[in-house]
Amino acid sequence: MFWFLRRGIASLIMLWVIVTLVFMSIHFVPGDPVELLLSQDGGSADPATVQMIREDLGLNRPIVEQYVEKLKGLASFDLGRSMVDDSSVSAEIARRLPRTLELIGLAALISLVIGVPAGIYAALHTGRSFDRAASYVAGFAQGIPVFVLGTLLILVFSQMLKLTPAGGFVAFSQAPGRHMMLLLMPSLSIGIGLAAIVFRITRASTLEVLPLDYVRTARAKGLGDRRIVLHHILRNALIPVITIFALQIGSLLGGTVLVEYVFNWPGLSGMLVSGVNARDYPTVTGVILVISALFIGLNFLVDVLYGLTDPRVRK
Amino acid sequence: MIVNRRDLLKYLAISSAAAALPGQLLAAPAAKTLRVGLSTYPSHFRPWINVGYAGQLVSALINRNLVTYDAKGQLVGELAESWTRENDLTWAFVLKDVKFSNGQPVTSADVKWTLEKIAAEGSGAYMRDPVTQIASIEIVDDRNFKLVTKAPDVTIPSVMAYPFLAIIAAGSTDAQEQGIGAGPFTIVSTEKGVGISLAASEHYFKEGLPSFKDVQITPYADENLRVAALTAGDVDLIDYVPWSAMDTIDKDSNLKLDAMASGAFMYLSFNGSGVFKDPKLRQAVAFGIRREEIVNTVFYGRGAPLSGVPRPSVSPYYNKELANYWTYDPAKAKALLKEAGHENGLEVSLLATSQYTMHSGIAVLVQSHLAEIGIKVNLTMPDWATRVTMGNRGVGDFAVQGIGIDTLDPDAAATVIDPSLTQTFLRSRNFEVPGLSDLLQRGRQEGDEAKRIVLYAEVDKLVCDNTSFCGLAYRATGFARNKTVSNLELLPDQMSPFSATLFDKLALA
Repeated sequence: MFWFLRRGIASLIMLWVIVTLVFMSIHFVPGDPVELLLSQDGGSADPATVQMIREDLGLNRPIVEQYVEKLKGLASFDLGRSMVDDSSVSAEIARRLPRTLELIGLAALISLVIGVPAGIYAALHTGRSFDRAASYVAGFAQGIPVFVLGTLLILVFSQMLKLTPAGGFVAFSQAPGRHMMLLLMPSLSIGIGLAAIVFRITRASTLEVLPLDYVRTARAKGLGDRRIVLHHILRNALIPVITIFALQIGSLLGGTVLVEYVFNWPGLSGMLVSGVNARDYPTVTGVILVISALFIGLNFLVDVLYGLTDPRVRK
Repeated sequence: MIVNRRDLLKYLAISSAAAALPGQLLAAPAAKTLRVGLSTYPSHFRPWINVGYAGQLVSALINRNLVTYDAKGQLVGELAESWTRENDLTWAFVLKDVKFSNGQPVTSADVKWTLEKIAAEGSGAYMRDPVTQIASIEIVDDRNFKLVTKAPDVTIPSVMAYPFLAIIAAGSTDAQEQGIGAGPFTIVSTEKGVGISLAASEHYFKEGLPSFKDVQITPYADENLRVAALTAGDVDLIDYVPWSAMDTIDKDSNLKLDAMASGAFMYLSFNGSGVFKDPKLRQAVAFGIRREEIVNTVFYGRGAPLSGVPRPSVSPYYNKELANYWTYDPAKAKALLKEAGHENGLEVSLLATSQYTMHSGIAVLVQSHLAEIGIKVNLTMPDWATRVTMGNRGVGDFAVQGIGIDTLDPDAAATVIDPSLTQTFLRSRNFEVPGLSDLLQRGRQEGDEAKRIVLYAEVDKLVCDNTSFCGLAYRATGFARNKTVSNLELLPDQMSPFSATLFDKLALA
């Protein structure tokens, strides 16, 4: 219990540090949200109007005052309103977060479905043709940038074969089939690279476990191959896979920006980039806070999973 | 269960086929709906704030101005039936018998309310400055009103044709930010970053238009994806066609490219707080740049050199000699440097942005061209947001700029050629061109077109000689469509990015 409490307090302190760093850095980076708002495609902002709108938005107040105001808002779970269109940042994040999560979720599923079985199979047949071929493919998949892979997928499946839409988004509730079609290519773009990582870690980890005593003992006891792999090898080999996988998923929370851009998927990363480009302070701090909270939460979950996978961790 | 290699391949093949099969069935287009791939999702729908070309496209589909331009560049009445100049200060307008999209008639009171909202302090309206030159708006009756200006101003009809000067039903912006306009479509739904759905207005005043029921707008920020969406059949029409894709689209028999070589343009502005206070040095820069190379390198040949003050070729104010004033002449440039006392060269800083390749590409070319005549250029290229702020603060000796001209009236160029106007990142600053502001003022007041032509020729000569503005290149405007879309017309030359005002005539096969 004490361990959980300590972890909880540490998480809150980390969030506060993140909010403070983000708030200060975005405010100190040059670029004025009001000037930008009034200066699109050749428009030139009238300095007097800029000053008036800055006043309205509270941007002329001392930075410390703005910071305290921000913390007060966050304490009451209010992420503020966008400076660009006055929309609620919380509402926009609530709309976009599930899209990014389902993109990451399907990518994760693809990577696990391909990476784990292929990694185990390659380890069990090490040095054979599948192992060699899979290692080459994994190297290629890991090396190709997501935006290149994404563009290739669009070229082949949308423009040449005309099998899938090039990109965009339709809500699942409106058109489930089209929604899944639009989700498939961006998920594949992320999932293929991730699968290569999962494959490598699973293979290496399995190879480490294979010669250990308890595997030999299981064989000596006359257990079947399936039982040995599932209960003795896989369970132990998966610990490093879970660690690396969770870190990768966490980094994807704010790192799907290229895929979202290439496929026009309106997720959280795209919102963050637009926010930075427009110097929309509430949007930037709001999105980073949510991503950080999820990342911290995910790490906590990994610790719990460690405990479930390996009882020694719980001691 | 241990999966063998054969099983693994089998499962992969089945899952790939299952994933691919529904694509063709599910990507079917909707009938009688125009699907537009837009370069940017407008940051908001407030009718009078400049939201860029993409935002203007949406605005042009839902709103109407008093006056507009036709495809030949002639001013024509839109909500206004006619306008006359009663005396030096008074313009009388007569409204057509037309309705807003909610069925309410467009009245003089709506026009007065609109212009007053624009002129209000802190409105942020793009056209606030010219509208504040209107001293009073006198309502004669529901369809007749008079605009009384503070000083004689012949540009009033063209001001009324500016983008972002739509007439909105009085008080309607209180309920929804876009208000209620009189355009061919109305907004049905919007989802930030995802799409905008429009439906045809049953009250649109042009007989038989629009010819289709709905418009579905999807933003594609990535220009390559926008083109891919068109070629894949996801959309029927795209705006802001990338120059690199124009040749490919031109060659595709299923697609049609509508492009105007002399669209928006790129130029250099100067900061007179440093060495560029000397007009000879500004001229040296202007004569030291190979504009054809900029067009060919940065715009893939899809554009045209801009060697004078930007004037549409259809305009009577176009002067061929002055339009080609700054020819590439390195010897002259070096001579000017020598005259200015810099025969051993000089070092200056150029502000641009790394965020847009047309800006960064031009900056690099300018740097290399000027190096050849002895000017060492140090580049400052932050992201766009920082660049705007730095520009407004006067950072850099000169800067790469890009803009479009919003009307065909010669006065429209004043915003980029007159350094005495309010200092913003878009124009030269900290020096004066003697007589320029006075000439521009006289141009605004002169009602006789022949005399106006002479005045603006003097303006152009003054600008070229003093180089308060250094034209670089026009960049082509491009819309692309599949063959089901017809009746697409472009506005002439620099107005072409705003061609969506003519999109009410579009037809779908």
